[in-house]
Amino acid sequence: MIRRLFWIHEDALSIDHPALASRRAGDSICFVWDDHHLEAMGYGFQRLVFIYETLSEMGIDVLRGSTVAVLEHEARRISASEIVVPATVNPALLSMVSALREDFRVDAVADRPFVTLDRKPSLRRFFAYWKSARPHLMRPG
Amino acid sequence: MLERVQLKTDFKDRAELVGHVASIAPWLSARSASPIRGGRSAAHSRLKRIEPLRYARTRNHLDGAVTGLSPYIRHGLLSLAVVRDEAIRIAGNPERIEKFIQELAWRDYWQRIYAAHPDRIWNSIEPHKTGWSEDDYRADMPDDILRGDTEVACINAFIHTLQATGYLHNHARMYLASYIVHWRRVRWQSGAKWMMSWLLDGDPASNNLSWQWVASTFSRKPYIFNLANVAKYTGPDIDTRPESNRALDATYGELSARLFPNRQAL
Repeated sequence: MIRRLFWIHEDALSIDHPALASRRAGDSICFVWDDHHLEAMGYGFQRLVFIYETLSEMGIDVLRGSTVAVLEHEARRISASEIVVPATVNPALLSMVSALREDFRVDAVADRPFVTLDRKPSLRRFFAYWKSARPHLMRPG
Repeated sequence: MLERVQLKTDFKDRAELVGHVASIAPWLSARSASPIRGGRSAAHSRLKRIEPLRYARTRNHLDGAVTGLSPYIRHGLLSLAVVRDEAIRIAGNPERIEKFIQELAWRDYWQRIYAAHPDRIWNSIEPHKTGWSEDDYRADMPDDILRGDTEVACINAFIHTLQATGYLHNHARMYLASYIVHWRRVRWQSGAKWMMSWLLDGDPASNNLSWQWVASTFSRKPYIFNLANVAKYTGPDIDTRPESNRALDATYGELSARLFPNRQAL
């Protein structure tokens, strides 16, 4: 049976995220309190309290250290061959995912989409995007 | 060998949690918490209280029926899809809450740009349409703005709210960004970085691309406002007397001529 490590980051602080849907009792879920990353992102003290309050309620492990090193260590400690993480567009987190992929299989799971479009919308101005998205979004439930 | 350092997550009260965060965030000097609580239960409690039908009519007013969900959406406690579903459940029909759904779509739009063009987050997407060039804007944030002690009373009030709560109504964010970029001619990147350092919900895409929209590097013209507009959308707790807000007390034409004297030459 494949053992997996679930890594939660600050862009997806939810136990309801689809990335966690396949977890089993006893699976390890962690958040890494990475001083360097949190400082580089420019998060202020009030935001860090907000994040920590959320983590505290989630009941997951909060591990301190450099994200990639901590996750590699944790994955080896529990003999995990796969790391599951909520998908993100944050380049800093994406570079950590790339570094982890050198030694582990990493499964980045997207949240339920807000809108699924048939074609890539124009992003030049909001209202060009809205023209594509509106018909999908205004459809009753 | 790396030592496994597991941090405490059980606290007897919020004060203890705040003290703990202070101990593991030594690079920050501010030490007070926002009244806005983190956590799933706080997020869902707020989601239950949204008023999507009143939203369209009142959202530009500082005391309007805005949801306050942005910190929970930004950090993934609530997805845009879940918020849309709940709003439609309350309204009964999406046609009745188009403006509300459109505001959710703005975040989706910003995130799509972030994913496709991460280089656009900290770099001007287009030239300024203000008659000024990039080099005409100062890089550092003026001290009086950092202290919330400018010559403009309503701007000071917005800064104080931002710093005390980690939150600011979107309209007030636009006023503040416009004042910093156009009245004080500060680089939008400096203002965006400063604002994000205070916000609970600050997201590099939503925050910075909105600053670019205000600055005119991601819009057809600069966003400016005047005192009459602030007075229209704020309540009695904001000082909008002309004598306390002289820099804003003018018509749009006068302000445009004053702030962008080279613009006609474009």
